[in-house]
Parts: sequence; C-alpha cells; structure tokens
Amino acid sequence: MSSNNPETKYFLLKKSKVKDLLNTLYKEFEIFVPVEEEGMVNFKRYKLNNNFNMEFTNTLLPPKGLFLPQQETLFTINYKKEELIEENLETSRRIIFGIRPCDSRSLTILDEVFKEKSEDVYYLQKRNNTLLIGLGCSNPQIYCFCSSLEVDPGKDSSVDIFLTDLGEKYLVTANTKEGQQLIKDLPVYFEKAGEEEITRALEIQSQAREGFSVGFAKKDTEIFRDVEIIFEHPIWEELAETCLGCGICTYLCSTCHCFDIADELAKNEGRRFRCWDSCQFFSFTNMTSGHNPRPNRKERIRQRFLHKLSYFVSRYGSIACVGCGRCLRNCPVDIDITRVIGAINHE
Amino acid sequence: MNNLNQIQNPYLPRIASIEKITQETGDIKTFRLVFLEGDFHHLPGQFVELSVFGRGEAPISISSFIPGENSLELSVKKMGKVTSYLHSMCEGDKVGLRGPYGNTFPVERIKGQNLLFIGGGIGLAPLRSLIHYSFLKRDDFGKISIIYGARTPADLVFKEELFNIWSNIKNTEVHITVDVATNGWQGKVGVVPKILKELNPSPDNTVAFTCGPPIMIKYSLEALNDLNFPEEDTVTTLEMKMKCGIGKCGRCNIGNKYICLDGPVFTLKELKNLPKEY
Ligand SMILES: Cc1cc2nc3c(=O)[nH]c(=O)nc-3n(C[C@H](O)[C@H](O)[C@H](O)COP(=O)(O)OP(=O)(O)OC[C@H]3O[C@@H](n4cnc5c(N)ncnc54)[C@H](O)[C@@H]3O)c2cc1C
Ligand code: SF4
Ligand code: SF4
Ligand code: FES
Repeated sequence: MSSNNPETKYFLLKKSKVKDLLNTLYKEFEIFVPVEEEGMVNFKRYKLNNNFNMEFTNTLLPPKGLFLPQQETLFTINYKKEELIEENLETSRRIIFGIRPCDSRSLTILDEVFKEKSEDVYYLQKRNNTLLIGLGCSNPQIYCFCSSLEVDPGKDSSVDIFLTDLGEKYLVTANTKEGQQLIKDLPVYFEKAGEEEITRALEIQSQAREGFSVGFAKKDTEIFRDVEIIFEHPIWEELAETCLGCGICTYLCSTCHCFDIADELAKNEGRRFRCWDSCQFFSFTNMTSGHNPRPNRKERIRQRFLHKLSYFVSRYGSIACVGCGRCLRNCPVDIDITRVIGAINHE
Repeated sequence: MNNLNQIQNPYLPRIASIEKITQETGDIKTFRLVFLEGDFHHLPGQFVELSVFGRGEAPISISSFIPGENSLELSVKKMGKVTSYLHSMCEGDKVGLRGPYGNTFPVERIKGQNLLFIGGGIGLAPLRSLIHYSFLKRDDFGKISIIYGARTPADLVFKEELFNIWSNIKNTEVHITVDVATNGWQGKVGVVPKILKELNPSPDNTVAFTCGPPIMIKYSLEALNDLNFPEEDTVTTLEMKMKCGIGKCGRCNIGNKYICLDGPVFTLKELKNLPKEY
C-alpha cells in the first residue's frame, strides 16, 4: 500500500536479469514469487537462486493468504505470569513479485473491510510492509472474467511497480514513490525505456481486454441492488440442489475474508488464533442455542453470492469479486458466478 | 494479566477481575467485573467480547450502567465452552474484555418520553442497562413500566431489583409474570405477550423496548402493533453468532448490516428493511 505518484516512469528489465535482481532484493526483502510445484503454481517465499515461473496464468491460492494467513496467532497467553504476549507484528519488508491485476484489486477490496472503524493491525501491518510488483495479463484463461469487473488485465496502476511482458524483457512502470525509489536504487537492472518499447507495451496493454470467454455486462449486476427481489429469487433453491457445501469457492476466493477465532489451551501457555472460515458451513452461523439463521444450503449459497454482489456493494461501494475465476475453475460441481448472474438476468 | 496495546490492537482484551458473583437462577449468574487499569465508557445497549483465556470469547450484553467507575456487570447463561467455564470461576479470577461494541439504545431521542420495557428470561439483561440509566436520570423520562416474565419463578433474574427496588422508584410500575406457577407463586401467571395485552399500555409519547426468547419477541411485537405502537418507537435487539465483534470476520450479517457494528439495537422499522434471515 503506497502513495501514488502522478509522474509514472518507464524502464526496461531484461528477463535474463530477473533472478539477479531477486537475489539482490533478497538481502533486504522477504520476496514471494510464483513457483510451480506438482503442477500447481503458488506464491512461495523466494530463496537465493530459487526457480520461479513467470509464465503462469494465475496461482491456485490467492495472495490474500500473505495478508490474512490461513491460520494466524493473535497472541499467546502465559498462565503462570498471568500475561498476554502480543505477536510481534513487525515483519521484514516484503515484495510480492508477479501479482496479477485481479489479485492486486482484491487487496484494495479487502482494505475496505480491514480499515472500517477498528483497524485490523495484523492485516494492515503486512499490507503496509509489502511492495507489490504486478504482472500484466495477455492470455486470459478460460475461467477469467476480470474485465467484467472493472479490472484492467493489461494495466494495473494500484501496484508499486508494474511489468508488461515484451518477450525478452519487461516494460517496467513505476506507479508509486516507493516503486520509483526501488528502481532508482538498483540502476544496474533497469534501463530507460525508449519510445518504441513504450508504444509496443501500451498496445499489448490495450489488447489484453480481448479474448475473454466468460463474463457479463455491467448492467447485469444492477439487479442485485434490489435485495427484496433478489433475496427471494428461485435460483438459490436450484443452486442448493447441486452445491456440495465444500467451501472451496470461499477458501480459494481472492476477496473472501471470513474467519473464525478460537483459543488453544496448553499447560502453561495457550494462544488465541484466527483461521479462515466459510459461510458455506452450517457451523458458521449456528448458535449454541441451536438456532441457525442460515440452516440450509439455500441460505448459505445465497449468502455467498449476495455478500459479493449486493451487501458488499451497498456497504463499501464495489462488488467483492475480481473475476479471478478461481471459484468456477475449482468448484467440483461447476457452479459458476458468471452463469448465475446471466441466468438471473436473462432466464 | 498485563494490559497490552489494546488501543492499537482491537483483538487484545483488557484484563478485568471478577469482583462479585450473584447466582440469579440455576444456570444464570451475574458477574461484576472491574478493570485492572484504565477507564471504561459505554452506553446502554452495547456489548463486550468476554474472554475466558484458553477457552475463547463470547459476546455478552452489558447488563448494568454504573457511571464513573471502571466496572460493569454481565449476566451470563451457562451454554457452551466459554460460558460454562465462566460459571466455574470465582471472585478474584481474571477474565478479558474487548469493547464496548455495537450501537446503543437511542438514549437521546427518548428523552422526555415514557418507557415500556418488555423482557423475557435472560432478555432482561440488555434492557437492564437502560433501566439503570433511566433511573439514574429519572427526571429525563416520564412513566417507566417494566413487564418481565420467565418460565417459572425460579427462572426470574434480578429478583432483588424487580421485587424490592425498581417498583419503589417514583412513577414506576413493575409487572412480573411466570408461564408456570410453582413453589406457591402468588403473582401473575401467563406469557409476557398476554400480560402486555391485558395491561393495554397507551402508545402516546411512549417507546417500547423488548428483548427475550425469539418467540416472546415475535408475539410481543405483534401485540405492540395491535396496541398501535409506531414501528419507529418499537425497539428490540438482535442476536447473531459473533467472533470478532468489529465487522471483520463476516459472520454476523443480516443483509448488508453487521449486527456487531450496526446493531444489536434496531427499531421495528429498521428490522422490516432487513432480509428475513435472523
Ligand atoms: C449481542 C449479543 C449479546 C448477548 N448477550 C448475552 C447476555 O447478556 N447473556 C448471555 O448469557 N448470553 C448473551 N448472548 C449469547 C451468548 O453470546 C452465547 O450464549 C455465547 O456466545 C455462547 O458461548 P459459549 O462459548 O458458551 O458456547 P459455544 O457453543 O462453545 O460457542 C462457541 C462460540 O460461538 C459463538 N456463539 C455461539 N452462540 C452464540 C450466540 N447465541 N450469539 C453470539 N455468538 C455465539 C461465540 O463466539 C462462542 O464463543 C449474546 C449474544 C449476542 C450476539
Ligand atoms: S465450491 Fe461449489 S460445491 Fe463447493 S461450496 Fe462452493 S459452490 Fe458449493
Ligand atoms: S468470487 Fe470467484 S471469481 Fe470472484 S474473486 Fe472470488 S474466486 Fe475470484
Ligand atoms: S462478529 Fe465478526 S463481523 Fe460481526
């Protein structure tokens, strides 16, 4: 999260130099790069000379876990001394190298939640400590639909530094002061870009919006403003018949942020932690009295869609979906948010 | 236990000591808690996240209004992990508190009006903070009527206040009822909504507050409607499962409202604008 600088600057970075660059940055930063293991690409902590994969379409797990870890200690409890020991929130400075435009957008969406009223220091500390180096998309996969959601796959000005793939090299755009400083400090890796390369990159960026196979029109999302009508729509009953309630769609979602808080008890020391949870589970809203306001799959699948498409919009002003496609790609029964939006509008 | 950085870190509880425990019923106790350090300011209707360290947290309404002191009371029914362990704790033991959280009863808007409290079972706990508040500022309000019921006489909470204190305060009426009369009960018998109808209170310049088991709330709201209480002068509280208490964990929403931030207090008018999912 950094301050925007109106004056953007263009540089070039040779792909053959990326590993050297990372090895240099490694001295000062904790770096996360896309790494392919067992056929899956995920952001992994970079170690000297590590291999990484910048040709990936997107990671299986969204980068939200680097800010809201799947499991995170909030504090430890020392019973003997009757003391709470706060987690050390000071991390070394971090870089995410190669974050896609949809996923960087998901972070600005999550910021709204974690900043509202009480600031979530665990999330925000990591966010403030992390430089984002984004990577433009030119080959959307068949599940991607970010362009339906005001995400520009070709150009991302919310990241500190943005890379556009020019074949042998990247065009490097510095969007923020922090991004510019990083480039300035490491002149051996970055050369000034010429007019020709800039023009080519801009062309690639503007073509990125083409070639999407799924999606919806913006006006198709307006129907979700009328909660009264959409809440009673028969589609929730239909979806509930196939949904397995496994929760994969929410765990892998770039913007889903629901978590549980629990205590772990050991002999002299316990801890309180939080971990990802899912609105798709019965226990999510089930109260000790036995009363559950969302007792069936119908209410729970409705919650997932309406949270993203309706409630979040009226609370924070934007749809809580970035079109990363992870939910449709990984749902075992092919429940597809784009088709749900389409069906509600056109069937 | 030490008081850490709770101002910056909203997840860190402040430590309080259990000063006094009152056994209200077989499974409800009232705990008077005192913060080891620092002030505590709240308004009627708010709740805290109570920590029993090593067991977890539970949202509990503040059932008192004790100004100028760093203490509060929680009246807790023994249910699951946290509340059962709390029930086994003793005076002098330490617990953690985060908050106060949530919105408040509309204390400014109701100035100069009559107050009608309709409570059932442990539902009198959140109302009691406003009852304390209104007695403290007695001249700010008109007539105060309290209708309270429980299943049996043994299930009535705050008995000392109900029978011996509140009814002796000027311009105040207390009506106590039970569903089933046992142990030689001499008072009213009948469910709360029925007693409410019989008493037939006037809606003029009056705000009604109701809290209790869902079924009691449902029929009380219907009775208030029959008595011509306007929807904006009918106030209730909602309960949803909670964890964070601060609008982050995504659990307690009804439509676009988070009950922990935008609730738990709602007027009937506001309630009617929410999806029916509570
Ligand atoms: C705003 C509000 C005010 C409340 N005020 C009171 C009160 O004054 N007195 C009282 O006895 N009870 C009150 N409750 C209900 C109380 O929170 C639950 O009985 C309690 O959380 C059960 O916790 P447990 O650990 O004993 O049970 P477990 O079954 O072990 O519960 C596990 C966790 O789930 C959550 N949970 C379970 N049930 C509920 C529930 N009904 N509401 C919210 N979270 C829940 C809690 O985080 C709890 O710690 C209130 C609930 C809310 C939402
Ligand atoms: S991934 Fe599919 S089956 Fe699983 S909960 Fe989500 S919609 Fe239902
Ligand atoms: S709802 Fe699906 S497409 Fe949208 S952000 Fe979540 S995982 Fe990605
Ligand atoms: S309790 Fe977490 S959002 Fe309300």
